[in-house]
This record gives sequence, structure tokens and C-alpha cells, in this order.
Amino acid sequence: MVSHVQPTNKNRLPLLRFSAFVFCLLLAFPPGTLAHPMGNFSINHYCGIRVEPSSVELRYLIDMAEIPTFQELQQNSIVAQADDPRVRTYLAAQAESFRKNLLLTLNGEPLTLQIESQDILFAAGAGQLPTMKIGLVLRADQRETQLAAVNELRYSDSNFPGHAGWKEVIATSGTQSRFITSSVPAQDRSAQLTNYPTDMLSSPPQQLEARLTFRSAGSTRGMTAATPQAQPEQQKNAGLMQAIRMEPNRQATPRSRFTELIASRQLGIGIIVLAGIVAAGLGALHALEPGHGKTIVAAYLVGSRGTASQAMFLGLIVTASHTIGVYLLGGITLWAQRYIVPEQVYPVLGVLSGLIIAALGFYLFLQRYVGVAVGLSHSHAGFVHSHRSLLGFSDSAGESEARDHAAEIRVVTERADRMDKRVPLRELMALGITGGIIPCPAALVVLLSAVALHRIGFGLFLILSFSLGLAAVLMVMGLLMVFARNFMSRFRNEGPLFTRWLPMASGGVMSVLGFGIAAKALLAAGIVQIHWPA
Amino acid sequence: MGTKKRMLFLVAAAGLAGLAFAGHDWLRNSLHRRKLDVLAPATLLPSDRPEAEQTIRYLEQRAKDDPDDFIARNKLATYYLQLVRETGDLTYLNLASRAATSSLNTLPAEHNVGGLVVLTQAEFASHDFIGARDHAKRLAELDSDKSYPHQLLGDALLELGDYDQAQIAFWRMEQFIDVPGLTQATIEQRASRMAFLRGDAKTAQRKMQAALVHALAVPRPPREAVAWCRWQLGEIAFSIGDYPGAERHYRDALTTFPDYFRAVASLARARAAQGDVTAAIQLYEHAVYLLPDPSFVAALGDLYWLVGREKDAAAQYRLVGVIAHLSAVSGYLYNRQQALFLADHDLDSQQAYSLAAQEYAVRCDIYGADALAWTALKAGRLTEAQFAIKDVLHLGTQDAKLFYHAGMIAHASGDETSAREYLHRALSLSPQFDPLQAPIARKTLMSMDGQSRAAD
Repeated sequence: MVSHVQPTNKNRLPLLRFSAFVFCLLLAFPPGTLAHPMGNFSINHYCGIRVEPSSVELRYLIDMAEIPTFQELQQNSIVAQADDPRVRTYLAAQAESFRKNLLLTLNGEPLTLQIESQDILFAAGAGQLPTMKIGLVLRADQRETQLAAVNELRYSDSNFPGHAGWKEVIATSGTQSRFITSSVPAQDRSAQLTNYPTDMLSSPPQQLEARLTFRSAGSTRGMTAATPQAQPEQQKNAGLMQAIRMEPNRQATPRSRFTELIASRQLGIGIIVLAGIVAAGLGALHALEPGHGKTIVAAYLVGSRGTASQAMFLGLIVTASHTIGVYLLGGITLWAQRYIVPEQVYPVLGVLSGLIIAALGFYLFLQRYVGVAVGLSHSHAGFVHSHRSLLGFSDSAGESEARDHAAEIRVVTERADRMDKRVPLRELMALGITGGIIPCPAALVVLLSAVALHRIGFGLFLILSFSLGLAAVLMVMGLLMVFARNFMSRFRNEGPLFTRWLPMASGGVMSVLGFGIAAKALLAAGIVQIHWPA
Repeated sequence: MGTKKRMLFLVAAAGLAGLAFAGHDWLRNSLHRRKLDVLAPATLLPSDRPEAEQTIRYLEQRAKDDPDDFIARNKLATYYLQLVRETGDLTYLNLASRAATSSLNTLPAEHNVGGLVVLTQAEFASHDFIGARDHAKRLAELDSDKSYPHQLLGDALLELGDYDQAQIAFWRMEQFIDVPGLTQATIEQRASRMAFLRGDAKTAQRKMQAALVHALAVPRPPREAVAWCRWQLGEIAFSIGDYPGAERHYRDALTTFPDYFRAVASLARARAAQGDVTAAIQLYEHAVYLLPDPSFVAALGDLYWLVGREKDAAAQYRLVGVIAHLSAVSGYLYNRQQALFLADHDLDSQQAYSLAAQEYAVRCDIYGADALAWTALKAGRLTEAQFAIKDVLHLGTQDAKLFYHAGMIAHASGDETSAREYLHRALSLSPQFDPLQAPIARKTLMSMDGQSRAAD
């Protein structure tokens, strides 16, 4: 999180960046879908015109997505409850205002629309926000005197002009009227704004007007008489259609159920399991990167004649210590950033860790050079490990690789020491902790992002999965080593190359690397500046 | 003395020649400016929406009938993207992405460059600038004798904050001559943008004027393209404190394209800057109605607050929260606006910072750095704010808000000299750059003056 200001993270390992990225994706889950199927600020219109012999019926629906619903609720100080008395008042006022903006003319003369029924429905939308649907049934009587042989009916809707949304008008005729022409379809595409077709390429219709011509009942009497059977069924249909259909959007439900899982911080078990598996996989991949003591584990088990159960035990300790390491570092980072600006801390830690590595290397070098007794290095094991955990703090830019090399080099020296030794539990623990406690930046990024996204629990869980994946690889490696030990032990060498010169060389290299790390940190902090001659 | 005379004569001749040269240049420039200034007054350009609507229905039917018809899908995506530009409605963006993806699924990019073009454009519009950049690079390979891949690449790089590479891409784009008028306009628009970012408002204005001339010169000028140029001219004028000039451009944009949401909101801001809060409120209300962009909603809330309508202001601020919540559920288009809103109103500063930091991780343009700097300051991360603001100012962009943020960061760091200079620059550049923040800048400047006087 801190490195955002400094473009220094370019040289990080690609795998690390990738895993951090995937982790962030896991945390954020940008699903890329819109909350309301028509977009979360849409106001969607539907009008079903039905021409009957003596009247014209309009089934008028307005479906507001989350944002306009929120605005309406705020402006009118109402709550999203259909049976609330204030909502009833609001509905009545709204219905009246909608009615005023619907113009229906028959042969050029305006018809008076009467509201027959009004309904309101609040359906849950995305992010626990309500959406609002208002449904009206309006009717206009057409008197005999207004009707000619061929009539023209015009409809126009001027509610919410210029506002985005689905705008659909359909027209059907009653039993005794027949359309000659119609500017709108008879079939509805959205099932009265309950089932928007969003699965294919179809943009929302933008129809707010209709023009129909039809023959009046008188001139079509002959036609209807010819189809007497059709009549009762159609009447039955008409009866069924009396009540307006008020249902929540079908698509909104499954889509928002998924997104809400994330928004409400209560993730479904399926997603958690999936995320856990992915995290474990990333952990396993991460274990294959240099570092994380896998060389230590391998070398140790080879050198110490460890058993399969010890390998497993080691893996578990690595999981535990890695998890704890990340939690701890995350905690400290979060706590400390209130008081200290991390950029100022990183160079200090870098210098410190570089010097410690250099000191260690120098110590090892001296040890071999003067030929100090083997036992001494063991008594210092605790010291070595506690500082290795400290090194984890300095995990800023490209330094980790150098440190990993140092660790692996040191292992070579230790391997020589430990050959033909029994395996004490204390050492096993110490080794496991050393291998695991170095928090990897990827895991730290995950934890900090989790905190930023207020999803700490999920973040902690992901870290645990990550550590488990990491440990699994180490266990497998350990087991392989245990089984391959016989093979490996054939190449055991007790000569001075292994007991003296190699450790000495590695001690020297470690000191140089340590100074290098310290110098780099000093340069990065701007404490020391080098001006190269041009 | 003959030599002296000859010398004098030579000097005089050189001076005259220089004067004539400069004069010619001045004359030519002023004539050029004249030509641009006497551009015919803005007229209403007819909407092609009904025709487009019909074509879209036809193409949708084609796409439905023939799953392999990638051309219909590419064309559909183009129409959808046009609607996104005109309305800001993300439903169409969703459709455009789907059309482009399904076209490329039918036929891969090597044989379907058109599919990749619309995909790149959709990615850009969805703020997936990395995807847009990479696909633009691919397009430059596939369609190497065209100028547009460089434009797409430059646009994406610009948003990602890679200004040098963006400039190179735009230069490459300019190498192509004999391009159609609208492409000419695009070239001038990019040049204008680069000039503005580098702090040269005059050139930016001139280039955008040229873009407008090109856009108007095509047989049937597309109204969104024309209105966009006019709106941009307004934005440049506003940035240098020319509020009446900005208003004129916004009104021209609205004459060309009534209810163009960008121009409505900007006109509201220009009215507010000239002290007409009532009209500004009405205009912002309309802008929010057309498109609830969180920055419009927040600006409306600020004006409500200024006139004492605290309850209405609070409702708008809550709406910003709702939009942020929804955008978090459905993608991340509004992270930056949300971060700036929180920081401007001293709300959840940690959240603001983390939003800005998340955005900056993938998008390091100067405005992203500005959001990071401003939110970092509010979240008490002064060092980070100092780092980031350096990045913000490195291009030399003349933007009052950027200077204001720089001034406040310098003030918090105790660097009074820089603070005074930056705040002074912000206020002299655009005295009313923001109804809430400009007074804060003024107050901070005055308090510093008061302190230094008290110290004397």
C-alpha cells in the first residue's frame, strides 16, 4: 500500500505481483455487472394499451432503479415500506402526477384518464438498496359519439423526459376492436418490467409514444360474430389482467444476490471455499519462489535423518508461523502507520537488516577461519532466528532476493554442522518458525487490502489458506527429501571443503551481501548519495 | 566613416527584417485567430438518435438471427459506444462490451480488426486502461498503416499517466496525412489536451478551436463531437478563470446538443463561479437528473449547503455514498470522485485514502496522483502527500485545484513560502475554482499573512 508513491516496485518478482493481484481480485470481486438490469440510475417505463369497445385501458408501470429510488425516498421523507401511510399518500400523489403526463387522444380529442388502481412495490436491489415499482391501471371512456368508422388513437408519455431507462409501449385490442395499424408491437419484451432481456444483445426500447388506428366496434361486428369461440376466452383473459402485475425483477435477484454477498461482508460458503482454494494454490506457487526456508527444510531433513512425521510437523509449524508472521506484521504496520510514516521506517529497517546479515556472515566466516567448535553455532541458533524474523520487516523493493540467497548460503554452512545429529523438537520448531515467519509481501498486501476494504475476517482467512498452500509444498518437499535421503547421503562429504572452505566462502559472501543491502537502503533513503562521474 | 555607416545600415536592415518577420508572424497568428473567432454562431445539430435507434434494432435482429455475423456485432458496438458518449448511460457500455466480445469470439482479432477496435474503445470507456493500452498496441501491429491505433494507444497511456509515451503515440498519429476531417479533429483534440497538461492553455485553446473547425467541416457534423469540443473549450476557459467565456462555450455546446450532461453540469459550475447560485442549483439538479455522476451530486450538495439548505445538502451527500456503494458492487468507475468527495468534505479520510491508493496503483496520471496526495494529506500521511504532489506538478499543469492541494500540503508541512505561492497561484489562476474549497484557500492564505504580520 505504501509503495504506491514510489515507483520502485518494478523489479519485484512477477509471480509475487501476480499473486498479490489475484488476491486483491479475490477480495474485491468486481463482478462487472450492473445492479439493476437496466443500470442503477434508470427509470423504466412500461405501458400496455388495451383498446376495448367502450374504453381504453392503460397498464402503466414505472420501475425505478436504486439511485432514483433513493432520491425519491429522500426527497419525500418516506421509508421503503408499501403499507406505510406516508407511502400511501406519496403513491396517490405520484399516481396523479404520472396520470397528468400521459396524453391519450382519440381522433385528435384528448381523453380523460381515470386511475382505477395504484400499487407500489419495493424490491431489494443491489447492495441492500431498495428499488421501487409503481403500477397504475388507468381507463378512459370513449363515447359512441367520439368514434368514427376508422379511429386514430395517440398515446404519449412525458414522465421523466430525457431520463435513461427501458421505455416500452405495447398495444393490444379487445374483443371487438381490430387494429389496422399500430406503431408499437403487441408482444411485450420485458414481461411488464419483471424480466428484462439482458442475456443477449438487445438495447432498451425507447418508445414513449404510440399511434394506433382501429375500426370501432360497430364496423367490426360482423368479424367478431364469425369467431364466437374466441370471445369467452378473451374475456377470461381480460378478467385475469385486471390486477397489475407487480413482481420484483427476475434478473436482479440472482445477480444482486452474488454481489451483495460481497457488499454485505457475508460471503457465501461456496465463494469462501473457492477463494480459499485459490489462495492455497497461490501459496503453493509462492513456496516455489526462492526463500521461505524450503531449502532449510530440505537440507535439514536430509542432514538430520528426519522422519516423515517430522516433515509433516515441520509443515504445520511453517503454516502457523507464516500466518502469525503476517498477522503480526500487518498489525504492527496498521498500528505504526498512525505514528510513523512507513517510508521513513523502511530504510531504517533495511539498513538494520543489512548490517545484521553482514554481522552474521562475518561471524560465520570468523568461526570457520579460526575453527571454533561446532557446538557454538547451535547455541546461537535462537539468536539467528529472532533476527531473521526481524529481517522480514525490511521486505521492501528487490531486497528479498538477496536475503533469500543469504539464507540459502547459510543453510549450506548449517548443513555441514548438523550432519549425523539427532533431531531435537526444539530445533525442529525453530526451523519451522524460521521458514515461515518471513512474511511475504504478497500476503501482507492481501491483509492490508482486506483491512482497507473492511473485510478483515475474510483477509485473515485468505492468509491462512495461503499459508496452508505454502506449507503443503514444504511438506511434500520434506517428504521427498526424507525418501530420497538414502540416495542423497551417498554423496556425503566430510572433507575440509564442506566443513571449512565452503562455509567460509559463504560467510564472506553473506557479509558482502549484508553490506550491500545496508548500502542500498541508505541510498534509497537519500541518507547517502553517490554522484557517478559522467 | 563609411564602414560605420555601412554597419549602421546593416543593423537597421536586420532590425527591420526581424520586425517584419515578427510582424508577419503576429499578423498571421492574429488572422488565424480571427478566422477561428468568427466561426459561425452555434446552431442546433439534428440528433441522429431516431435513425440510430432504428439501425440498432435492425442490427440487433441480425446479430440474433446469425450468431456468426461479427460485422453486425462490431457495428452495434460502435452505435452503443456512441450512445454511451451521448448519455453517459453505462447500460450501453455493458452492451458494447458484450457485442465486441462476442464478435471476437466469432472471429479472432487477426481477421477481425474491427472487433478489436470496439473492444479497445469499450475497455477505455470502462476505465480498463491497461486492457485498452495492450489492445491498442496489438492494433498498431495489425493495422500499421492507420492513424487510429496510435490515438487509442495515446489515450490509454495518457490515462495511465505515461505522458511521454502518450506524446509519442500522438506524434505518430499526426504523421498520417490525408485523414478524414473527424480524425483531423481528434488529432487537434489530443494536441490540445497535451498542451493543457503541460500548462499551455493558449495553445490548448487554439488546438481545440481547430478541432471544432474540423468537426464542423464534415458533411453531417455529429453533434456529440461538436458539443464535446465546445465543452472542452469551456473547460479550458474556466481553468484560467475566464468564467463568462467558459459560460459562452457551455451554452454553445447546449445549443448544439441540448441536455448534453457534461455541458449542463459545467454551465452550473460556471454560473456558481459568477455568483449566481440559484441558477447553478437548478442546472446541477438537471445534470443530476440526466446522469447522477457523483461529482455533480456532490457539487449540488455543496451549493445547497452554501445557501443554507443543510437538509438537502445532506441528502445529496448521502446519495454520493449510495452511488459509491453501488459502484463498488458493480465495478469501479467512480473511485476517484468518491475519494475526492470524502477528502473535500473531511469525511472518512482513511477510506478516501485507500480508494485513491487503489486507483493510483493502476492509474498513475497526475489527477490520480492529485487524488492520492489530497486524500493522503487528509488521512495524516503527510510524507506520502508530499511525494505525490511532486508527481502532480511535474508536467507544469496550470490547474487551480492542483495548486490549491499543493498549497495545503505545503502549509501542513510548515513550508509557508511554498504554501503561500501555491495558494496565490491557485487563486489568481481561477479565483472561484470551487465554491467550497476556494474560500478555504483564501482563508488559509489570509491566516498565514496574519501570522507573519503578527510575527513582525
